[in-house]
Amino acid sequence: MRVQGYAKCMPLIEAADLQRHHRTAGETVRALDGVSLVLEPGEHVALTGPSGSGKSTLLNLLGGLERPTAGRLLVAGRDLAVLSADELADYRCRQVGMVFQSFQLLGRMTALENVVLPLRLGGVPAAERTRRALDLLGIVGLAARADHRPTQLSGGEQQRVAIARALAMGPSVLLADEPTGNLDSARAEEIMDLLATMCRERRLALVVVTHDPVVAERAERQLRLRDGRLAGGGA
Amino acid sequence: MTASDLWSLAWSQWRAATLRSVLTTLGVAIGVAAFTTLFALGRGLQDNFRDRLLRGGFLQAITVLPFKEGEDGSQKRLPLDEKALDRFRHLPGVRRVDRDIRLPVRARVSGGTGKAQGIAVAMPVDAREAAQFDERVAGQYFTSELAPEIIVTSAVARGLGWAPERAPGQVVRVAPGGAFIDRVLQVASPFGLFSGGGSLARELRIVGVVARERVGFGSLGAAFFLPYGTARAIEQDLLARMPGASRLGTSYSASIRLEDPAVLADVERQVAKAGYRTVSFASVLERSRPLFLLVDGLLILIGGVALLVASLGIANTMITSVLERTREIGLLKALGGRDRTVMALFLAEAALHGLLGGVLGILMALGTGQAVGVLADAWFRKMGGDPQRVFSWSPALLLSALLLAVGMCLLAAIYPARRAVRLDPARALRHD
Repeated sequence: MRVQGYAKCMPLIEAADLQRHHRTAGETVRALDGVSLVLEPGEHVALTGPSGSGKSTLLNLLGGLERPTAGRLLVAGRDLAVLSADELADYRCRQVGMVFQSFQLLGRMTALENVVLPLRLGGVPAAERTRRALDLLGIVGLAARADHRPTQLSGGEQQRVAIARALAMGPSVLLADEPTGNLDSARAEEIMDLLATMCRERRLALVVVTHDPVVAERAERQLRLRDGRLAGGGA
Repeated sequence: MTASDLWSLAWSQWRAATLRSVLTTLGVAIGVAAFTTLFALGRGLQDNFRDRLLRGGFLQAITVLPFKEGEDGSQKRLPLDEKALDRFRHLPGVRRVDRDIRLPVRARVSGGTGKAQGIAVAMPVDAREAAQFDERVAGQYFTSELAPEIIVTSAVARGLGWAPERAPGQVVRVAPGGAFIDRVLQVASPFGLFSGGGSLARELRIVGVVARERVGFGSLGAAFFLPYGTARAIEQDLLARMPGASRLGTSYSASIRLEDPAVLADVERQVAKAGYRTVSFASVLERSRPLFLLVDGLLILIGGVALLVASLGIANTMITSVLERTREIGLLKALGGRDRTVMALFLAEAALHGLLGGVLGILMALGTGQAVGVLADAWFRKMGGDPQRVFSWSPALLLSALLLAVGMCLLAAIYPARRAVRLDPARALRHD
């Protein structure tokens, strides 16, 4: 499902005074403390900052894995804070694709089965999901490795499978948490090329969390987080 | 996610941890096998017992005794004569009513040395369904009510000098005789009634040989069986010779044989209403029902413990699985899996253990039943009996065992599955 239910002139993601607090050992930790930002479809943004600055928390909020403590977070015109658990699961299924540093592929499944997994969760019919997963594996250059298990693939190849999986349900937002963190520089370059191409061709908003300045440099815009706030105000 | 997707994912997880899955499934199978086998054993023994009682005529027969118990506990004797028996013959569902004839007799072989002694019981010619004639060693049943025929036990056949299977066709001389008769008739020697002008002996042809003495309604302790009419003729001869024979005009007991065991309680009530005391195996059996239920309950309890242990195994496996697959659960949620999908996935895995364990357990139970059945057959044969059914299997029992296995596994998986559902996806994805 592509961006639905909102006018094209509206931003894809709109966060206003976003806050996320955790209670740890009796103390309140402000992981995000008033973040506001706007992301347009097809925009490529790098999220940087030191460890503990709130990058992963912001990514989790955008991915619907956590709910904001306060503030407003609209994605494609829908306020994530008020969605029910099932609606939030549907949002994660259809609106967002996630790519992780450690790939998060299931070792007992083949590359094809890993890409098929979100399509199963999304209720796509069997024949259609196999066709779609094979197409995506072809796009990421792994058509010939569809029957291989993750342990039979290199790190770069595993991340390509993970990208194919993230794209399977046709999301409007692609969130990548240190996608090149476990790869050498040549593989990192390939992965970033692939992500940038997907972002451009499919008009996906791409948010990449990274410590790597080379990766960050490739983004159209860099957002730097420090102590849960965006340096320079963000949006 | 469709049901087939759930099964496919559950199967892929089953195969991913093969050893653990096999051991867990085996635990379920052993529990199901123990439960099913014990249940089938309890049922089988009861069915067997009931079948034997039915075949032996025990459940279709009532013995009537000529006593009436007063309110003060005293006993009053009532006449059990033809008039009384006629009343019983007209009760609905009654097939026949006979005065019980039990005579002490002696048998010897003409011109031979073989001899035997014991109780002879009169059998109606239509009572061939009785168990002792099913367990016939050789020969057949009586041809008619008045035929000069006799059926003897193996022990009697041997006493007369024949192997049991060679006895049918042989002719023996049979006369009433025993300590009491000898004394009343003042017979000088044990076989005094076999010769001379006052001989009561009749030549009877052995038509059948039965295995044992002790089975069959109304024939406990019998060594000889006579057609009812023949027995009555021998009895008449004896009574004619006995002083004061008229006191035997009313019998000590009578047997009511029924068309259908279902009417037994009604008939028994009618006879009791007429003032006679009744004895029936069915009523004894009915009073023993709580004991059977207790035995059933104990067997189910033992099997239930085996199932409980198996369900703890399932719970353990599923909890371990949730702990080991925390990141996978986080991933499923991150990819859009709803809580109920995660729940269904873990329940499907548990149900798969239950299904495979249930089928395997049923096969193990049937195999055990087969093996025990073969051993039991050999043992029964060695003991001189016929093969007996030890287990009672029914499609309903096997289906129930399968459903129980699946249900038990689902129950045991509820807590682990809820734990999986409660996992926070963001934390789960960071889990080491």
